[in-house]
Amino acid sequence: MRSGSSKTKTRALFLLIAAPIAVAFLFLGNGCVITEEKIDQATMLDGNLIFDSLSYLVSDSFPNPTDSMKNMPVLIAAHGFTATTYEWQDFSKYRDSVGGFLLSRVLLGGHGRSYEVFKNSTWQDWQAPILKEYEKLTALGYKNISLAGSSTGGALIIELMARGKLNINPPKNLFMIDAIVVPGSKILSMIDILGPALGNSISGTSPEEAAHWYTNRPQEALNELMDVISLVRIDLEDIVPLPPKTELVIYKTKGDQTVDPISGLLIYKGTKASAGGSRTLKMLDSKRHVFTRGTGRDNWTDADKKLQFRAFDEIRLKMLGLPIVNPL
Amino acid sequence: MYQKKAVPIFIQKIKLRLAMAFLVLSVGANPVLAGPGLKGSLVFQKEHQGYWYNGFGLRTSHPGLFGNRLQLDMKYITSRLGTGLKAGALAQDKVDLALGFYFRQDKMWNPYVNLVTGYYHVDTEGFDIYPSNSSLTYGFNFGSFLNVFPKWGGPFFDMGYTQKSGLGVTYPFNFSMGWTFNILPEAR
Repeated sequence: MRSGSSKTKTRALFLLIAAPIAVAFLFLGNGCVITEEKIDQATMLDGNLIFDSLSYLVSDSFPNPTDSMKNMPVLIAAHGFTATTYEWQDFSKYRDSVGGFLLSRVLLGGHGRSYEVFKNSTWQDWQAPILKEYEKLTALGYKNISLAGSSTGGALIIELMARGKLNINPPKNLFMIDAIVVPGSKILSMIDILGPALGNSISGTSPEEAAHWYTNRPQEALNELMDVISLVRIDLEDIVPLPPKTELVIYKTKGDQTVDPISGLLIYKGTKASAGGSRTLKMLDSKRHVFTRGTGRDNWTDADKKLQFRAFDEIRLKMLGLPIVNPL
Repeated sequence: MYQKKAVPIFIQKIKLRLAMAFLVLSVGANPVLAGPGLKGSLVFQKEHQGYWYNGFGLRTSHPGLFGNRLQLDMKYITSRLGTGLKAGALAQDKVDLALGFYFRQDKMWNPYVNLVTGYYHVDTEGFDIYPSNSSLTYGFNFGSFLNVFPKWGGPFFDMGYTQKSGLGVTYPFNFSMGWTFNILPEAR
């Protein structure tokens, strides 16, 4: 028979272990699930709205390039988690005004469709259209290809590079715009343990953003995100060689709350330039995540516009092989 | 004719080091003292989804404080001896001070809980990433010490949650394991 003090000790032990776990579940629990009634089917990507951007692909628009087009710089631009090609809308307008290169805006797999499609997609699904467009352009004879990835788009490009998938037609330039390796929210690391308790995470969005970004972030998709960024971090720890002659430019804002600024250093430290290539890290004074996207954002200041424009100019001049007068 | 092979130098060195380790650990065989107990530990910590940190710790207790149940633990662990050894990983250091309660002193299975506070630093290698590269931390952990060799010590395992202002590759949920050995045995 057990003594009273032994029972008390056991109860105290149980409480000390169970209480913190219970509190964690209480605080992290399902308080952040957007209800069906709050989704406007007509205007929100989480509803019936479908964002169709297939016509933004250069391989579809120019399937029979002339010799001069084959040598023209083409930028394959990949957007971030929950976003659509709309994230590169500002850069597309910039391109239309200055010309000199082609822009292929890739819609990641599982994105821009429906909440259910997104929920059931894997990071490999998200990545597939980037590789498909790169391989298609290569097969069509385009020789001067560069890639740009914002946020998760950047991580997906690094993962392709780590597997040597970009070596068949080495990109001239790689541009990382606030690419993610470490998230700003550290609780995301526990998504595989507390997934059902964490439930959905909701991003604060304006009506314009709700039409082009998923508002709900299902735990299944967050889990996929954590999987791919952990994989990329481990790849970078072992050093990812850049394709021959590829030049990598990493832009990272210091005040970004969504992606930890250390991501910039991890990409810089975890890559190695091949002969004739280079890598540059540019830490920027901004609080924006994906500072290159201004459309639909609140409080988009003149300083934000200036930074965005300078980055656009720098990307264009680098692709054209022209000197950069006022580098960031 | 059979000839005895010369013992390679590295084997001789290993033997010497084993003998030295035995001498150091044999302090545990000293007579029990009436004063505070002191234990040393080798610590291996893995942050969930993050780095390995390795290092060492010192833990002290006194028979006058709940019969050695209340223990003060200080440890230094670093990714420099873990994942930071890889070329693309960062050097990150942690100094933790824990106040723990050990529930079953004198038993082989000795569960414990710790309240932990500490200091954390990330080396950004000269790049201007954060306003400050250091952070204070606080959290808790719980686990078990298995006192399998009362004179020499035994293994421990725990898991914990640490809150810090998210610098570098650092996540809150961690698992630790290691070996605790007696330096000054606890008085009974």
